[in-house]
Amino acid sequence: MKTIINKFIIAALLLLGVAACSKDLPIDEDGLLITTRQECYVSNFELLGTDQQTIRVGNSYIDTVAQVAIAYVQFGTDLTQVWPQVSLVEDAKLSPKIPTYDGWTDFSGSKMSVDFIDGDWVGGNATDQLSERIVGTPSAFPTTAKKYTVIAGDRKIKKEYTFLIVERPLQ
Amino acid sequence: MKLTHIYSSLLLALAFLGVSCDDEPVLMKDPIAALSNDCIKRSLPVAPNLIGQEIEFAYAMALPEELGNLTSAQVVASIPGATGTHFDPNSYYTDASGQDIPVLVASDSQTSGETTSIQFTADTSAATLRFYYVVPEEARGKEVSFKFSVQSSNGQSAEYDMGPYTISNMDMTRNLSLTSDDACYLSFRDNAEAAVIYTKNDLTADPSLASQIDLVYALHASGDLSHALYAADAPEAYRPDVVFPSGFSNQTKMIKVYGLRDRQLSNLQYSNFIDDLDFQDINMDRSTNYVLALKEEAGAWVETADGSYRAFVYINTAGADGLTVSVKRYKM
Repeated sequence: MKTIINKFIIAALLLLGVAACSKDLPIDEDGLLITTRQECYVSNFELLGTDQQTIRVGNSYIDTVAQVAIAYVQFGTDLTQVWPQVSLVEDAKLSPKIPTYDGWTDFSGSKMSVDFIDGDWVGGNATDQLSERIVGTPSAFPTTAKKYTVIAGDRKIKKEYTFLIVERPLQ
Repeated sequence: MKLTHIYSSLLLALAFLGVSCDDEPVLMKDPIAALSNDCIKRSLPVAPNLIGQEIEFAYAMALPEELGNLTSAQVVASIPGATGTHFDPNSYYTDASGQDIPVLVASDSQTSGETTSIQFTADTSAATLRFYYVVPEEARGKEVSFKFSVQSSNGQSAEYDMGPYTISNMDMTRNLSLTSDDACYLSFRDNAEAAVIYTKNDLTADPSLASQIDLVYALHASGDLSHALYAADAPEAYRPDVVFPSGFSNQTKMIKVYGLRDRQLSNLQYSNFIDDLDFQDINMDRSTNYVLALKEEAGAWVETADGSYRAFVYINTAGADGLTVSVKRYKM
């Protein structure tokens, strides 16, 4: 009796194992799983200076509808040598890729000159008023601004984001 | 079945007893019947050997007490050491609280040319002496090796070879004070020192010094700028109220870094070392002509406008009156 039960349990486990292995998601050209996720957005935008420290002031502003990410950086930051870090929704990937080694990138083309008005900066950080005004006038975006495409987990949905940099006035 | 178990365990216990009773101490090697010696380099093996700095060794020597005592020790360096090369006449032991306690065993050492020698004054058959070799200018970029030797009263002698050790090409100057609007001109072109600071008065006395200046330091009240270094082509927007001296034209390259804590530059804290190789390998393509908001433990790689020198400037302290910096410099 005992051995029969044991055999039955082992057979059931084997069956389970086969079932678990049969869920074969395809793999894309980078060796990453192509999943069913259709979300496709940037969740954070970080910039590091040559000293590997952040050059941002306050949080980056990301508009997932207008597909714009804005980083506010310290006055005097040299934008020709920065290392961008873009956080994405789960399973998504970025194109072109940011190298994991020597990812220094010239972001000076993304720098926007903005005429600031009252209420744009509070406590050293940019306000939504400023961010929304920038996003609201796409015609003012520099034509040289860096653009990266986010590719969703299913590899079918692609969205191109414009990355902008605004230098905080001297504090 | 059970009985055999008991018997075998009893037998095993007896065997253990047999071993434990054999308490005659056994020497692992032949007994030492002559003068012997040993040596270690106490300076860290990864630390670059810099001109003007010490390399420290501990030289241990001993012979069995019944054979006699130590009479003299000496070391011959392949390149004569600079002034200050000496044996410490004390032998040290470590007490219960971990302190090194000196015991005077010898007279002061004598250095002439390559040889440093010391005579034992205490009646001792064992001692460990510390030897300090001050790296001379002649050794720059070369290798230096050492031959330690010891003589005892029974006529025996022993020798120990150390090295070769590579001496760095670079120079180091530590703890220079930069003050805004006065001692604010930094030059990496001096023949002897890794970095020299000129004051406004120096420049008034000799305006030709302006061509020697590689960087200008300024301290701003603004938090975005605060402690800043500028090359001659630094954008004016980022240097408000900083007036460059006339004749200052060096377009020095800089790369700002943070947390590169060199042990020698930071006055023996931390354990990183910047060596000749780092200066040869650093990619200065991603340089700027100004660095802003420098703080303690930050620093900058520097390349002079003509590319003849590379340097690393380490910020020891950043205070309200200015910066204290230490510099390593490498001639390309």
